[in-house]
Amino acid sequence: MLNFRFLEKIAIMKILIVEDENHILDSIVVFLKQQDYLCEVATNYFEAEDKIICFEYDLVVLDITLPDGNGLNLIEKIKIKSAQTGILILSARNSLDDRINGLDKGADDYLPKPFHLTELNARINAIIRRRAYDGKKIISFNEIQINPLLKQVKVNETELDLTKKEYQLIFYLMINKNRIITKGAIAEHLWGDYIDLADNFDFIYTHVKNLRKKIAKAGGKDCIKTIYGIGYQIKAQ
Amino acid sequence: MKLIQKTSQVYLVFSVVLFTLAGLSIYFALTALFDEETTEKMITNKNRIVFLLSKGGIVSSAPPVLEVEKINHQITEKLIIKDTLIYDEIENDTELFKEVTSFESINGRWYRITIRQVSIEAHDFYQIIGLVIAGILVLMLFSLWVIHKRIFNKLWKPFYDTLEKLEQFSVQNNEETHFVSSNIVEFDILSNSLKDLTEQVRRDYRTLKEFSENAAHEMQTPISIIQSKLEELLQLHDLQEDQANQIKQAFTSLHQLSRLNQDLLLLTKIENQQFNKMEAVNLSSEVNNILDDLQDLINSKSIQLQKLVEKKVQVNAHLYLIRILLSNLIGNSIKHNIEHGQIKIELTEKFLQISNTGDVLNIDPELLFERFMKNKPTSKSVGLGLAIAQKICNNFQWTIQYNCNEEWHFITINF
Repeated sequence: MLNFRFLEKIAIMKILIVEDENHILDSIVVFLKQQDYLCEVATNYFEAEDKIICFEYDLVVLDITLPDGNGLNLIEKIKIKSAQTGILILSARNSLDDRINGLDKGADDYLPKPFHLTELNARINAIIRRRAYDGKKIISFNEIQINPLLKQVKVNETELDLTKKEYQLIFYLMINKNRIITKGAIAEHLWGDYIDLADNFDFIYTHVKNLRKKIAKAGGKDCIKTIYGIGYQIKAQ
Repeated sequence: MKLIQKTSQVYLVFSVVLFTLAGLSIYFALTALFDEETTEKMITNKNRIVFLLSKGGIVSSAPPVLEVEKINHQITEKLIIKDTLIYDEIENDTELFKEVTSFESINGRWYRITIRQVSIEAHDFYQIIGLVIAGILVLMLFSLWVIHKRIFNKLWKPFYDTLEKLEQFSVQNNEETHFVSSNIVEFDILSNSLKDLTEQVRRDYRTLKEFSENAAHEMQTPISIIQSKLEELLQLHDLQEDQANQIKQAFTSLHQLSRLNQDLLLLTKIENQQFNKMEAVNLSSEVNNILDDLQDLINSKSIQLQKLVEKKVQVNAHLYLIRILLSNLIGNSIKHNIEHGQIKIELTEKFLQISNTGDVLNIDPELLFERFMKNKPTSKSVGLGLAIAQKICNNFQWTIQYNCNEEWHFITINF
């Protein structure tokens, strides 16, 4: 356990964000810095190519539609420089070809726009965990610990019996700890964007309620805060 | 009726009328002529007999053809021409004769001379004429038909080519339609006008498509920006409840806008045939996966699910569209269901039927396939779900139907 904590301290992840839209770029950078990542940015193909050739990154967040070129072509260049670099593609929704081509060329994941920053964080986290820690990294908060490899949640060493969705929910909240996550973002993370659930978020409440019950039963403190009916947040009391 | 049939029909009617008239005229003209000739000949014969008698010759009778009789009391000379029926012993039949009776005074004595000749029988006459006319008519029609056929095949060929091209024309097809040119001015005008027209239609359609796609696409970036900025706003430490509420409302509206935009983009992409890579999709497992994924939602409304899904039902389709279709329809059956309602899903090789309980519809169910049609105007959903479902089904040449029976709603897709 100490080992991992130690790793977490020294290994600051270096991320390159390639995105031509400045407003989005700002939000991503501000957000990722809060998550203790080291961020560099590129706003066009040329700049991105330059940085990819010169430096090594743990992860590249890559917008495909750039003003001076197709982001897909950068994937190969990233892979040549370092096969270890994770790649997360950002692109317009329903651009199926982009998605398939991107994943074919070696990208790790694909996130369609518009996205929730918490979702971006969860995806980045998943890639880094897989690439840098072989998925072994334990995620912990207070007395709650998640082992992503085994999909196991423990409170004070007592294993919780969670449904698939409950597990996904606690995982999502933990990854984005200290951050308010909207119900919309949770719904999209848990059920995808297939179904439009805007008029009924009650079932999220049901899941949160069950989760709280199970954590309390195992002797954990209630760390899931409800925020004015907007969403939820995991925060130390 | 085809053009060639129509013209042939007109020709046929005209010819029959014309030939009947011609036949009748010939008949009347010929009989009249014959009559006159016969009468003339008989009068000549009578004159010969008169001449013979005046020379003191003896003319003996040969009834019924010739009768010469001395009479007493005739004062004026007279010629009577008439038709009469006489029993002919030789023919053993009653025959029509032409009769010329003349009262003559020869050398101071009165004679009655009667000359008769068998008339040509009318029905013989018109039979012959009818046969000849009919023969000519058939011959003429046949040659007309042959000539017509040749003319149609050669002369009208460009026209039929153009027709065929028009039938194949589709605005969604990007290939230019080539109309054949001919050496006939009218056809060339037609071809050229059609060429201009189809090009214009296609160009307009393309512009419109590109516009909707671009517009929807361009909207994504501002939506992304608003979303990330709103999320950042939420993270402010000293956020008050009323502020949070306003952000929440902004989020809800933004979500609707974003959803609308995605749906419109998806519709245009399906229309633009951007999902034409087909593969074998295991529909059974897709249905089961989505049901698993949505189990929580089904439970949250205490809905009773009845599943009659045959194993390994395969269809040739696009996986991504299939997932959208299924989640749209199954999602609807949950979303528009009532507490403690029911859902029944039946999948076979031939069809997929999703039935659910829900509110009674107050509009025609088929209308819900129209864009932006909703049963309840207050509903927060965009109203494109079924339009998308229909587009997807059309894309795979499947039929989709929406039926309603009281509180039960049925969506049926036939593969």
